[in-house]
Amino acid sequence: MIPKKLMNMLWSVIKTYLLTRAPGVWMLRVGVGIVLFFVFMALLAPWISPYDPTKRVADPFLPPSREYPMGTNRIGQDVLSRIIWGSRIVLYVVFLATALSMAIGIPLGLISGYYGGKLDRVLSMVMDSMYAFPALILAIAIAAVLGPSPSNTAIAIAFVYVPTYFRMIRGQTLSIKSSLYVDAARALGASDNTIMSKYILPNLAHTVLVVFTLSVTDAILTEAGLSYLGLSVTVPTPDWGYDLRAGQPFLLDGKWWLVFFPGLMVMLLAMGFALIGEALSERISLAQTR
Amino acid sequence: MARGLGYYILVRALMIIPTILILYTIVFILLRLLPGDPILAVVGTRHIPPEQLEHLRRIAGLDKPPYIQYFEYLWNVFHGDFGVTLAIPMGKPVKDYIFTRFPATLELTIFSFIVSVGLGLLTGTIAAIKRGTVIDTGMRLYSIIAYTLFIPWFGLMLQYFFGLILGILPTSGRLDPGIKVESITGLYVLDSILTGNSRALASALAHLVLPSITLGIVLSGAYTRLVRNNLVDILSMDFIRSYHARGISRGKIVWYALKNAFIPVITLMGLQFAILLGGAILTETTFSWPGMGTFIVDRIDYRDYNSIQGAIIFFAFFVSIISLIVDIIYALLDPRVKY
Amino acid sequence: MVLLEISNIKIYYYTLTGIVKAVDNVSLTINENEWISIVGESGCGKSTLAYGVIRLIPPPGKVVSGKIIFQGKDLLSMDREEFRKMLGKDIGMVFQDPMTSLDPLRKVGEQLAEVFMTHLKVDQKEALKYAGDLLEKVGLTRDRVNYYPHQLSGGQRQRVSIAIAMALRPKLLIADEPTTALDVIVQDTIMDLIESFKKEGTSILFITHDLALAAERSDRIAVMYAGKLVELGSVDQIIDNPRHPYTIGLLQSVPDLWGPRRIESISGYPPDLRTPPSGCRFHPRCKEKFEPCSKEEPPLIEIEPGHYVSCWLYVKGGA
Repeated sequence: MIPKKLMNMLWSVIKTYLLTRAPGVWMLRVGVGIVLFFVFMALLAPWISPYDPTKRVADPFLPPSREYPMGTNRIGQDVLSRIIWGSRIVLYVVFLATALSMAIGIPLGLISGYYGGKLDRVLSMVMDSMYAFPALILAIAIAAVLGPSPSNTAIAIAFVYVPTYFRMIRGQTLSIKSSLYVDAARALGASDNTIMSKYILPNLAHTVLVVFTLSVTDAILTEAGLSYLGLSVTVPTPDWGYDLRAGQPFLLDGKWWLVFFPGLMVMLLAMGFALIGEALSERISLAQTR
Repeated sequence: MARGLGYYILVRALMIIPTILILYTIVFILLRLLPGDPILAVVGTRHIPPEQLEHLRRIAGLDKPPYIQYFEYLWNVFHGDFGVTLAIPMGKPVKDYIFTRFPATLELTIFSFIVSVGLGLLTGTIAAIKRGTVIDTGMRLYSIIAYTLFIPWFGLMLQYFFGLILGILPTSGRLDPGIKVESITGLYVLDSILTGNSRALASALAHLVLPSITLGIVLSGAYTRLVRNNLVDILSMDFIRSYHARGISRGKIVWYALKNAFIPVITLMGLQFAILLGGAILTETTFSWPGMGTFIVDRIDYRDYNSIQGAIIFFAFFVSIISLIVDIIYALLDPRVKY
Repeated sequence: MVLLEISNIKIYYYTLTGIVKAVDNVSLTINENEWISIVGESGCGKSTLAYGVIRLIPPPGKVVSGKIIFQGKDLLSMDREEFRKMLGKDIGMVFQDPMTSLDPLRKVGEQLAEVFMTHLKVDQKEALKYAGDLLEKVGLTRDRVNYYPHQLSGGQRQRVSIAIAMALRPKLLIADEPTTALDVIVQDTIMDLIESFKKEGTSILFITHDLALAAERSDRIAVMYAGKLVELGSVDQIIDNPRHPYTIGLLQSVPDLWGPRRIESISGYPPDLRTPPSGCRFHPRCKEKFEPCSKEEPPLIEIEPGHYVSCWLYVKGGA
């Protein structure tokens, strides 16, 4: 019931942004294009990957060629195939983590902002402490304890980004809560639940969308970071950050393709979301100054 | 007006304590109370006689019930004892490592901070002044590209280009092998200046170039946006127009605008610093920089949770101190803040 | 006796969604020692016109054509440095929002002294002394020199702004809705202050949406609508003998203190200046519109000495 309404809202928001002619739309389109590119890459991996990413298919350390467009790594695996399959891990971890963060952070922020009081004070203090602390370090601690696996990485990242959503939602809730039209609704006898779902939630959609894209960007970089430090996947699963680390010792020997391609992918995927986020937030600020 | 400043600082300082406690509690719960015996994790599959296991447990303080551990560890921290290492090398006080490694991280962070703030202010200001033009869009693109750079990738690409192809800059460590510096503060640049050691100074600076640029550029991305948005807000305020109508020169107006924009930006510098520390871990690993970042990563490989806990607690403390300092600076700079 | 002559000014904004014709061919003269008010609703171009005079049109806006002559000098083509030296010395401006028109980081006295130091050869000590004198002149106490803007009330801040604008006794003071953000009683004191400067020889270009306020103190009133000048005359002519339907509409929409009267509002909304109505811009909302109104823009006609209207009703051969 509520999720469906949310879907509709988000869809209309997306429609407004994507299909109108406005400044900054090109950023949105490029960003969406990049994201879709990687999503399809992940979905179609079994069919578009030229080789099995976990099997040795050629001599190790072959530079990029027509047969192996991104070269082969230390074990002789095809880098391109590992890149393609690696997109699955990245997207899986990032979306799982974000979904978890949102599922926890948004309701908490809404309740905390709306009801206030002691609960709000305690929660805010906890969230603020976490927010100010370097995300990567906390994520490292959690991932280290839980053990290397993509799901655990997702949990670690989720944990670290809950405060982001919490703060954003709580802030918005507070400002909407004290606006005149909510007062009017309350005067007409609307219940707390009605106010929250009818008035506050719809107005959050825009903010959530922007925060979502920006925190996904961060999450991608954090996942890559954790993977780089060996805290995400285990051999032989392909993951961009991990592969980059594996290739690092051989960089200064001239074998640049082991590092170049995985890192480039991380950046492109992150950039896709970042462009979307930038375009959206520009649109919002333009609408506000009208 | 300065009468209240001491009081203001005191109140702010007291407010750090809950933050540190909360972080400590979170870390403690994570690292101590989660399933799995940390000692066994360290030991792995090696067969160790039970007395040694007991010894390990004792030095780690794990032989006591959790709540006692909580307070005992906290007490120790306030006395500068951050626990001991559980893995190779075993039994060494973590604080010794902090002592030698933290200055390395600090030095890297400071130089990266300078790079990121400098670049951020520059690009943000240009973007704000040329708002709505292609230049503005260009700066915003720069900002996005900068913060989506994957630090290890960017650092390694710089190493490849400047280290391998051009061969003009070093790619790892803090000093050239064979060069020594008398360690007073642990900050090699400072130490070499203080001891008049020009060779060490040159070497230290050369080694700082690539890592600070890497971390600095990546972090400047977020900064550009901040500066630009704040400056755009300020520039549209009436007092800017008023300055123009008073006949004040453009250069002065930009300066005044920057000073105004600078203030909200400062409060976010505290946050910047925290993010910098996070990014420092990846940078250190990429450049084999012997700081706290590489320390934590090494200890992870050994599953030495005790050391990791100590390091993180230390970080929490440090980050809080920074935000306190930032708060104070902010209060001093903005006449609207009452104390 | 003519102080400022604005001739056929066009100020357009070249935005991504169209060209906004904010000020479209407006001409106006301001004489020495006179108070002239420009009246109109938000978005009619009155503020833009003022900013045009001080060359502060932000991109994507431009002064497309026209001349602005001040004391015989062409302001628009003047060298930027020379113009900057004039601003603050010969022309002063006061802005609408007292909250944001003073630099929050600097003391009031310092900002005031800066004006003296920029235009005259004085050192800071002397400048601060002048600043103190000036604050007293505008009705504040001397000690306010050391205050920060946030420590003053809105009315006090506006006095400081006026002091800054009038510091070097400019011949022209431009006031862009200086009292809009203030309560009525304070408003009156500010108006008194501005009037006192007029009595000492400064001309006032007063911008407001409040026709009644304009009527209080002005010598002449100019009415603007949708980027055009629709009526211009002495205050008596405008108030007692308004001709343009818009002006009449404005006067009718204010209650009369002297007796009950039906209040009429003007129907419709101000037009989008990217696509203004053809012909007379007011015609969609005009009760008196007839054939030529939607076809051609009416010229500015002098219907009695000093009283100009831009309306087909008054063109010979019309109505």
